[in-house]
Amino acid sequence: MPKVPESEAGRPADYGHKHHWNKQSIFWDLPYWRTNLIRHNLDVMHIEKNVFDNVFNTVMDIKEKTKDNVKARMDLAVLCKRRELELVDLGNGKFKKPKAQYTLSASQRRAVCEWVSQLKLPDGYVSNIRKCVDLNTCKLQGMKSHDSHIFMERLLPTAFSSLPGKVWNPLVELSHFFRDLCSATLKVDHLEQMEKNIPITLCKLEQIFPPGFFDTMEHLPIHLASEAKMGGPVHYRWMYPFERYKNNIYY
Amino acid sequence: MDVPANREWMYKRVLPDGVGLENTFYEGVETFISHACKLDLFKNEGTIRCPCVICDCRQIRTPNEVEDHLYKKGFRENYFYWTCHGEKRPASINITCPPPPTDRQNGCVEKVSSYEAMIMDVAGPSFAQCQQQNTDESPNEQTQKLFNLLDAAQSPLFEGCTSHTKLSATLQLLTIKAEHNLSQEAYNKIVDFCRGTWPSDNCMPSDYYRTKKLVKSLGLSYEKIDCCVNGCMLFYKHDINEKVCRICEQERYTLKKTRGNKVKQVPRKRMWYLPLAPRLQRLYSSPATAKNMKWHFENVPEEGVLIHPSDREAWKHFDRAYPNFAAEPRNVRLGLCSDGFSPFNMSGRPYSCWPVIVTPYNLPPSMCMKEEYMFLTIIIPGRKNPKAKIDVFLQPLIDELKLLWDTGVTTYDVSSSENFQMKAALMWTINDFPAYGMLSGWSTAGRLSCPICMEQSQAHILDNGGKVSFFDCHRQFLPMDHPYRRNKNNFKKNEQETKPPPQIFPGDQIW
Repeated sequence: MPKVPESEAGRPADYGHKHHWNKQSIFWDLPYWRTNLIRHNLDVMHIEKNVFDNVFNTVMDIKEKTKDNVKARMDLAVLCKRRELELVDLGNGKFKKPKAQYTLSASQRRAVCEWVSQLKLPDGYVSNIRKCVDLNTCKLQGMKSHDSHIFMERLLPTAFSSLPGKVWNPLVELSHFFRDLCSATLKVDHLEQMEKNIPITLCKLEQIFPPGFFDTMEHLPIHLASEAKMGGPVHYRWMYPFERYKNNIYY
Repeated sequence: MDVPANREWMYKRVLPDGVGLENTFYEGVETFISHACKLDLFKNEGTIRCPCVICDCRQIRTPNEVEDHLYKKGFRENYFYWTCHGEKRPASINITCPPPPTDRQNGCVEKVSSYEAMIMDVAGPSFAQCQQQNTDESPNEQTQKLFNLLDAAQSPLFEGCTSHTKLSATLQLLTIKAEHNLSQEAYNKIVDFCRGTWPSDNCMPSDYYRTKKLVKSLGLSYEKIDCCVNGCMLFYKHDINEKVCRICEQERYTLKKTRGNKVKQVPRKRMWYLPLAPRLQRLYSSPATAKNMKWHFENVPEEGVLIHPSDREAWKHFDRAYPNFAAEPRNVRLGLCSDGFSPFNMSGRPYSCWPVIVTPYNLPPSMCMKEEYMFLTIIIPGRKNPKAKIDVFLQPLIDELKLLWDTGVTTYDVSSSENFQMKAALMWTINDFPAYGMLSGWSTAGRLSCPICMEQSQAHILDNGGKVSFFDCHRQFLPMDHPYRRNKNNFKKNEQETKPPPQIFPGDQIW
């Protein structure tokens, strides 16, 4: 295996089929590297933010950003038995995308945005989320990663309470999973329970959302609990402090 | 200043553990508010002058707001006598109160001693002995530099100046330069102006170049290493004299005209390396951090509760694998973070450099991961993301880490006043998902993007969306008898899941 790949064309044999190695990382030169249980950390900050963005945009059915687009519905017809979600041929060369139970209606979307625009939260807890709301388009704009973190863990269950129970419950489970994972003190038995629960939560989501929703970021939470069990609390292993450090050297 | 007995509560606001306020403070603020409510201002307009740190008795607010401010920020400095609220300073106090100049002098002594302490931290114990002995033989170059520094820390800025020494003035001006991003030109002009206003015998270094020369001997230096424009190799160690990149055959230097119409060779690209070992040594030479570096060893964790990485399996496994390393609690465990960073405005030409930051994990939770203990180690220059070639730039760091693992460096520990051989090990890296691919070598794009499931990943590419989907990849993590595994309707149609969860390989089976 090359230490430094020379170009994208010169990738090792079987790349993409049997493995994804494109080099042997220089860290393997360290004599103790192979005994380390965790060599690289999955970054909870970015995973949480991306999962939140995907969930929020899909449930709020924001155009261009939702994962529940026409192509996702076409894939759904290939892979799943969900007749009620497949595109309906209207006969004149046009198709209709039926409304799914996991999206909110226009009036419900408006209610969510109005609720957020009136939120009052403790000083220093989160930035002023009220300013992120655009009531005309029913969107949240310019949220920082930490705002997503708070929204995912604290506000999501209330915001989406108008969803049917079958959809709302796994979303709340996901929200609680992240909240428990990010707490300053973790308990081993609690983590073991979370490790068992997160596949069930994700399976429940798989029964609701279309296949196109599940990109890599929706898959990674499944490894987070076991990683926390080995490496300890996530706030020693996530990017927030480093992002702040970067912010301070910015000139 | 004398504090009246009934006003001691004013500056004891927060409880010792940092959470919540003192009860006496709550009661005190109430007495203050009820006192202020007797004043004319309140009787006429229903408001009070706010004595908090921010408002400084200049803002007029309602009693509720004032109460809020005082709980959040506390009283303004030295407001023992509520002079803005109808009280008068007792006449006798004015006489006993020490005159201000002496006060400043006291402060000065403290400041100077803190600068001297800083130099002592740099110098280590052998220097202190050398200083006491006053030997006749002339000191070596390094020691001479330290003596010069100490001299700068002791000599007043000009004859009769009590508030500042040469070193303290220089360092404070440098801090201002760094905080406000002043240019060298601006710094030079400010120094020029200051020197003009002070008496002519002042000893302030006359420009930025001389300032740097003075401060340089405080240590914690950096190295500049030339690199290939395309990031293929470093001109480093045995390649230090090469003129052309061995891989892409690009020139190392470009020619540039200087002011005197001479032509000079200038490297086309350069990386910065800030050696790690001196920074770790400095942690042990300062009394503020030295004893905390053993926290992970002294702390007895509660069974089943995790508050620090040292409580966990990854750390303990490492200890078991290398008992010699674990036997010395002063050995340092490190984490490494790398992330893209665009130093210039977004509207300009895109430029992304990659800082590499290393942080020690020995410290207690209240200090660990704080900005003071993050060491910027490498700056990988842009303009483009180094991608998989990031390893080229990590070479100096890996070489130093190997040295720190094999032999270690001799370090003076101020908490136990002895020398020891400090070793260090890199525990793990912290990175976002794209950087994960760059550092680990397992590309995190495409079908096999999950670096933990690796080749056992069941992800597939969608026919219409053309994207990678992890749909129906999570049933295999369930127990074998879970009903979801047999469900043919709600997941992929007509499919059952029989596979066990993917096996996670330990490091020695990967390579």
